[in-house]
Amino acid sequence: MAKVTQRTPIHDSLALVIAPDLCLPRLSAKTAEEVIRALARRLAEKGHVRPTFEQAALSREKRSPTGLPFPGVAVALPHAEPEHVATPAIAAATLVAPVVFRQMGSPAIKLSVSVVVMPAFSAKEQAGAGLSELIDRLQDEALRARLVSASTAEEIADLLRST
Amino acid sequence: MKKILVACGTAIATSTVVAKKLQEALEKRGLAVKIDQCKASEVAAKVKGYDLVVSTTEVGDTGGKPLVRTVSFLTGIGVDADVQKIAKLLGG
Repeated sequence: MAKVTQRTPIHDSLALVIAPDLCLPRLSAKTAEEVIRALARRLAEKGHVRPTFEQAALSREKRSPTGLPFPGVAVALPHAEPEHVATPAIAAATLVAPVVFRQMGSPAIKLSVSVVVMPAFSAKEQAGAGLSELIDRLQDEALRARLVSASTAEEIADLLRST
Repeated sequence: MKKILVACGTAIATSTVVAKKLQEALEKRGLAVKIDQCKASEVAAKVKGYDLVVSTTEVGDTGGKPLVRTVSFLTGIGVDADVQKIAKLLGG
């Protein structure tokens, strides 16, 4: 159990960990599992996560779903434990058609998710700071609207790391 | 000082975000609290000594302590209502 400490400057800001080659624009997928596998595989191909990450993220999603009901655009943040991560990164996908994710905290609720962001962090402090930044971006309604219609990898990366 | 236990699925990232936003919101109301984080599955074992549990996910036994289950600190929707509820539960 970690104590909550004051916010410390973290040099690994999102700008450094979201690269266009980790973004999948207009991904065609039928299920949440397909999206999770596609993002995890891309992270693995680029050497950011271990091969175990994919299965760990799938299991975690079943146990503790990550769909978030942002107004207008539901977003899911599937992830796995830090031991499956080699070097920190964030992968993201926009979908041709929404897939069903269950809502975080309320698994009975099904959300039609059209943006999926997969954080892969290797340390708790960095995860907290990185996810905080990401959540702040995602709470911006205008940014969500642009994100959902993003059609290139560069666009997705730019939106998620824009300040 | 009141103590809050914040729980999420893996106790890695989500609970950190919730803890930070909750602390800031309560400080704005003049409420200083101590917040610790754990996995949802650890709540039953760790809840002793805490006044309240805030979780983004389902938790089982909270040892009789009040539980606020919410994702408002992540989506930004309904934060004020949750902060009010939490402050009230803490007797603030």
